[in-house]
Amino acid sequence: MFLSNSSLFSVVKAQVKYKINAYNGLIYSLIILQVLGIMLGGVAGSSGTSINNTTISLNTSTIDLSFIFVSLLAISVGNLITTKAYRYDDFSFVATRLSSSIANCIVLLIFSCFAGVTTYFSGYVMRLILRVNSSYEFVDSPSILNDPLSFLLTIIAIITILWMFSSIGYIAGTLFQKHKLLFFGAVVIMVMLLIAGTWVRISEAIFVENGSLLILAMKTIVITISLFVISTAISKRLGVRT
Amino acid sequence: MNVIDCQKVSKGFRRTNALESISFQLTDQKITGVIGRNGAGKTTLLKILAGLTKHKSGEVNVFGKNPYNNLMVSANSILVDDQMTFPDSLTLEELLRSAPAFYKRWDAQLASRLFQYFKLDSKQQHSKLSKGARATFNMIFGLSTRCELTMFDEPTNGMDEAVRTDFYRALLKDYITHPRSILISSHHLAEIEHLLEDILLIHNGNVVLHDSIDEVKEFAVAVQGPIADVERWTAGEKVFHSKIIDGQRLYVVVKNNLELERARLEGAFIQVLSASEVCMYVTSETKGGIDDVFK
Amino acid sequence: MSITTWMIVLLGLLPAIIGVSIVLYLIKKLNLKGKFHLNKITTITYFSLLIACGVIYEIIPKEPTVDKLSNEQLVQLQTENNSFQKSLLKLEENKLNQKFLKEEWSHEINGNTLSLEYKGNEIYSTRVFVEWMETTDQIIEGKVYRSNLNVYGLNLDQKVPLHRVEWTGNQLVIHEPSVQELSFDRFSNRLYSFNQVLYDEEIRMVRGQTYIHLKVPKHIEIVDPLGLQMY
Repeated sequence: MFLSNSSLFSVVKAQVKYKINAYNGLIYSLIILQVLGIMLGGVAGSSGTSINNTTISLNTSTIDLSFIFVSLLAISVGNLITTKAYRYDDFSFVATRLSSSIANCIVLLIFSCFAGVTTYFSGYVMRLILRVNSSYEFVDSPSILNDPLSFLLTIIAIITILWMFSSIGYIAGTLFQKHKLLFFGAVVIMVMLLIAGTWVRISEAIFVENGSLLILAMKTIVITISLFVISTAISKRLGVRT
Repeated sequence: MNVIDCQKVSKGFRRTNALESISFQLTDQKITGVIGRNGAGKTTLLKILAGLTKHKSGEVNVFGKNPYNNLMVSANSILVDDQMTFPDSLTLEELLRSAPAFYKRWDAQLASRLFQYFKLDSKQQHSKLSKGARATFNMIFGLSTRCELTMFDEPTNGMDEAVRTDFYRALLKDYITHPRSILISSHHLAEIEHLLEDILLIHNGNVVLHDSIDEVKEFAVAVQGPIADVERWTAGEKVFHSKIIDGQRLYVVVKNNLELERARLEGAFIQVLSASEVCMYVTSETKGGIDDVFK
Repeated sequence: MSITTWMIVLLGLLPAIIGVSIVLYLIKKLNLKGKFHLNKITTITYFSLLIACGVIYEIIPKEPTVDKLSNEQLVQLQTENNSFQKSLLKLEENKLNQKFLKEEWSHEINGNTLSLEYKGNEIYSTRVFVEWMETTDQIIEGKVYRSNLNVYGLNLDQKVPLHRVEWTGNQLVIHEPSVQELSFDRFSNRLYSFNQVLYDEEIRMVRGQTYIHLKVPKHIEIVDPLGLQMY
């Protein structure tokens, strides 16, 4: 009898590669959402003031809307890959629930990276359009070359936040797969926290009191990984092809 | 080391007990048929062995490890059934190409040859296949993994007669060149009888028989004769099946034992049964047959 | 609000509503396992297209119509403004930043009164400082300064006009510039969602002031009904 021995690492690697190939249909949703974000999300903020009888107004466009859309996408993708159709696919090949969870976590991170970078750069499409099409004077704002650090931090923050959203979708989906009541229980707890205001305080502590984007990114990563660990623990007992 | 070692394995679903107490061992590389009626627990047993579901109590060891959430077991075993799913974004060809990353002993040549022989469309998606073609693809996939423990759950569901015959032939040929432990579950024992070495007969969540095919054939015999004589001969024996023929002769299926030799001398007509008949009678719930329903 | 107003509001919201519906529909219909095999090509094309947009934007020559300044530079400007005003209050002329000097003139008046007049709405957008001179002649020397002006990082020194100063006899009339509007479009790489909570509270405006420094002989009396003078 010859038994081949696969390490967890090699199986996870194979799964990640396979999942990325298998789920690349995601690109279309991503493109459509980003295009919508560009089309709808013209002016994110405008400010105005007046000096010496001169009214000055400045309209600032950002990629916020794309970012919000893609965040919603991240939640639903995280949720989607916990559903049976996707879970069972894993077990047609070599897999354990642990390897499957780790692979999902990594795949979501890779997708978040791709989505984050494209979302950021979709801003440049917006810039070009604005530059050509602006009815007012177009003012150049600091670009990557002027402020590379801010560029990096913003991208890192976008990526980690997208990853976190996907992990929220993932844990919600896992709870739902485990038991519908568990999911609704979690929702009820969330809503109660929301009503009690605790939620606001918690999220303030996490997301508001940050000196820099880097600290925010760190906190987000810690939250995301904890959510994935909890999901993995829950999914340990999920049956396949039942 | 035992390939499979089950001790009093049970598994229940919400209301029913799918497996009550399964104990058996699989020692060497053999083709074993997992036989049983509908709902006997075959599928559940195979899923437990493949690590897809968790058993409730007892002990399951595959290659000396609990298969549930075990990577080594997963890497060396595969369960082929009609619930196997593959993502639609990959074509059949791409699926076969991504397999070697998972299965170290993947036989790409065998896969592509079988693929061509069965005239599957390499650009097709798995869920778009017809039932028979999907079963064929799953079978090709299962055979090509060359897993030390290869399990087929009702593999020929949906296949036409010609493909079935080809499949059994392919299975046997591949087994001979690359011996490994193969479990095939089916409720059509007659169809697979010729390729099995062992039979694991499951009934109501229990192992009724686990023996070589020849032993199974000898497990029970049919005794025919005048009613009174037959009743005398088989008194105290476990009767699996009995029916009255022509109103005066009794046909019973009983456990084979030496005392029946005496009956033969007294003029009993003793008939050897095929393995599938033995399995059918042993697992029959009622003494009578379907005829009794219409009386 | 009238019905027409509501209609307009609804029409304005329509694209947003349609957009959000499309987004929700897409997310609901989401299927990762798309059946297209162009996925890889699409992914690569889209990605390269976006990066290309970024590169094109970064390399095309941009005429800086208005200078953009970093936060540090703005702080620097504000400090300059503050120290300028302090020095002017103390009438330490040698310490005044000469780059703020916009006009310089002298005017001879008749009689002993000088009245200050302002034509416009924002009276306090000018500050008049009077330095008394030990002299008996009738000459008034004046200097007009304007400190750094920067709004939202845009240097609008040239675009925002100065107050105009005019003599009519003994009266010094300060005219407010005529009404005008300046609008700008800008794209920010910083996300608004992060901006609210994360980025340091930046100085967004350095509001420059017009200062008029008058050197007036001691015997002349100043009539200043509006209180334009700063002490």
